[in-house]
Amino acid sequence: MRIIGLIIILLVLISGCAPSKPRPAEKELRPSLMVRPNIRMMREPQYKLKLGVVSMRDQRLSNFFGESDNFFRESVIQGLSQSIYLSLKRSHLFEETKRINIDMPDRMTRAELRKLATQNNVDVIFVSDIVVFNLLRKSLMDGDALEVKMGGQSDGDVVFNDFQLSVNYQLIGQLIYAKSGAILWAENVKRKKSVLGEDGTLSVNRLGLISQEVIKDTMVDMITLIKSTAVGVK
Amino acid sequence: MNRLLTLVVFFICSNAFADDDAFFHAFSQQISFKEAPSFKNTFSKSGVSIGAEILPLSEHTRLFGAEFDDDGIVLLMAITNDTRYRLLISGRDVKVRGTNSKQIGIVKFSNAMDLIDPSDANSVGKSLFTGYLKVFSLGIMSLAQGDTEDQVRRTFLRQSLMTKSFKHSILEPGDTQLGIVIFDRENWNKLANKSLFLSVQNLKRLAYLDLKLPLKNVKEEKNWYEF
Repeated sequence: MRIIGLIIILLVLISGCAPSKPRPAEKELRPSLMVRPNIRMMREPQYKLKLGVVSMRDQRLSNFFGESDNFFRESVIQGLSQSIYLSLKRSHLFEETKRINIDMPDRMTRAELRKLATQNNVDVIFVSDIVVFNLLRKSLMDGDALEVKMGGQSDGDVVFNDFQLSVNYQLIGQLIYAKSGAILWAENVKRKKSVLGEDGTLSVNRLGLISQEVIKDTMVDMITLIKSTAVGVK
Repeated sequence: MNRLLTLVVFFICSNAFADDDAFFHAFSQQISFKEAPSFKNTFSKSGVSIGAEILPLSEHTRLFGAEFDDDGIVLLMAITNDTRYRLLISGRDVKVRGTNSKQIGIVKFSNAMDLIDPSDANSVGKSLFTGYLKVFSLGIMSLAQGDTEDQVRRTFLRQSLMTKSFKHSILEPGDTQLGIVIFDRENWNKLANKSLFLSVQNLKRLAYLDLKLPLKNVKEEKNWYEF
């Protein structure tokens, strides 16, 4: 009987501290994906051309977490598309950067692209696909419960973290010269940001912070790649 | 006290769950690599090859932890780029078309997840339920993490599906992309003389190449269905 009693107490104790999974916060409390770009501006544009940035195409396998995509103030496509536009504008890679608010079809011929560019008075179109944007929650099993000294605590404090929460972001971007259909740049850019936690939950602030950091870092990578690997216009 | 208990639980159940469970094992298993021309059923056009076959049932368990149920048709497909150009593969736009001009797309990720039941003890095999201690410690672990054992398995299944599915990606010259695609059996059965369709984009100049792979020679192990 004592053993059964002990087991019950043990279960109650553990269930009392059982964490819950990350869930979308109330709408007004959700973090935003629209971040101030952390891009160093070029003095002279790399291309003396006008750039049009269309909305991203969703090519993800799954939603942000589980079956839910409602973790942020705006939709994932809207937020990430805006962050790309702001980063390209801020980079000053092109003489002028403007947002083209259309849903890009999966397939667009050269003639259709040229028409779109003419309608919007731009020379180059930036097309991008989100391949991955999701939250992964991994329990650190197999004795992996890490010992780390957390910032802000006194020296020598050791915290046992049972979970790793990561936001993964991967996109494929293309810069297409509308006149000829030549692709000036096309690359896969991906980043991951992880935090450790004692439980599996993720506060709104932490979610906002790691999501925004991963977006900023991805944008910095993307702009750096364009600067260094994009071809010129003949 | 709570941390100590959690540690004890981790220690006990690391063997109980992680070492034995088929879903956990499947997470670290990879698809055996082969190029598209090595498939029995293959098609080439302008230096781009595409191949597909039904994923054998033994591979379901090895790669995902259990067999997908009969509502899904699981194809293993590959595309090999033997051109000088980089290609953009529209992994989410894989279609199967019939001669009756109907077509179907791949099932949604959440629906694909539902095709495997993590609580099906038979599908998991005998490994997980080998002793009271293991079942008991697994229960404690689940409570400690706020998850049931099914949810832990679903996490592994989700990650296995994400890493082993055919993806939207850039394919470099000489490279091969390999992955699974799942179709709904009911819609699949409505199509006559099926062909697999995939479109790739050239990343030098905006142009597309349509690939069509007839699925005549592809047969299922259990003869649930013949193409």
